[in-house]
Amino acid sequence: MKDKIVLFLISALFAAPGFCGAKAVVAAAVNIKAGERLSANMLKSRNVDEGDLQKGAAEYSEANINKFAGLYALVDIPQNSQITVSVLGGGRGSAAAGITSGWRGYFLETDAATAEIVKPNDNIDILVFTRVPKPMVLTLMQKVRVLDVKRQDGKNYLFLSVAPKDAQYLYFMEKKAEKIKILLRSPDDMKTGPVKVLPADGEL
Amino acid sequence: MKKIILTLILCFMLPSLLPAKKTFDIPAGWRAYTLETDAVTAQNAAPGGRVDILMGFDAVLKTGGSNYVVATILQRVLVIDTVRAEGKNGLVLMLAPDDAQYLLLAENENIKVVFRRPDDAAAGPIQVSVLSNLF
Repeated sequence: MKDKIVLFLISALFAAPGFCGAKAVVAAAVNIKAGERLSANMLKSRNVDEGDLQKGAAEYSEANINKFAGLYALVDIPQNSQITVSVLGGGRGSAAAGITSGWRGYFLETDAATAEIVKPNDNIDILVFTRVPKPMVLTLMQKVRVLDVKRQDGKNYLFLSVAPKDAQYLYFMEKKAEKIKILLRSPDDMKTGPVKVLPADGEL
Repeated sequence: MKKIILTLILCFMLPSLLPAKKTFDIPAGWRAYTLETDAVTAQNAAPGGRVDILMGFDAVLKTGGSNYVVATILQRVLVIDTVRAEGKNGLVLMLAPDDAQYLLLAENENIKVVFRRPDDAAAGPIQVSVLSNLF
């Protein structure tokens, strides 16, 4: 009896997909167009022979389906094609889809009160108090669009849409300014223009 | 005999019982680089996403002294995955070997990761940011 069980176990082991040279991978259940956002029902399991496996093909699992759902197709993916990470773009959670081409998404840490009043799609101004090259308050940026507001590990962040050069200045100020202040503005207020720098060394 | 069979079964089954380590599809000529980041960056990035890397450093002036500057040192870097290990967060980036060297050098300074659209293919020179340009 024990021998039969052992033999059964061995035969079951060798009959498993891994030993037959086939592997269940994530495949497209429908034709997916470039730029389309993936959902779980657009994906399916497909058994593929070891020799036909594409490099980077994802093993079929609930975890991988959840990982891919919400991402964006970077190229056209025909039905039944194996899904690889290289054909998908960040979307879910990354807020990358909300970023306009030519712009950057910037996580700026802020205080809890500011994070409380600012909402996605709000516009803000960014003021800084710096002592370099001399003490002053300046309006660094105006009418910056808020893509998202996040709370992570007890810290608060605004996810901002900024031009590449402004991303550099913002990081500059994160490192060098003593304080960065966020001002909420009216969504209808389109006006921007030069704001005089305020010296803070007694030369008012 | 039974012991041998049982050993064989264990040998075959053991690998599937152990937690599988992640494997990455790294094309020949490229490298996977793990860059430690803050939690908000790592946890809001997704595989397939693209990022730029900014670096802040004290630039030595020809006239003497130094100026703090911020430069975009890498553009449109592919995020292969995100990792969280021992309480730390990071991105797994796909880089050319030369760029990996630049990034390692930059890691000694201040680094900021900014997000971009995955399908935004534009990349070009961005003027270095210095404070004097603001006025």
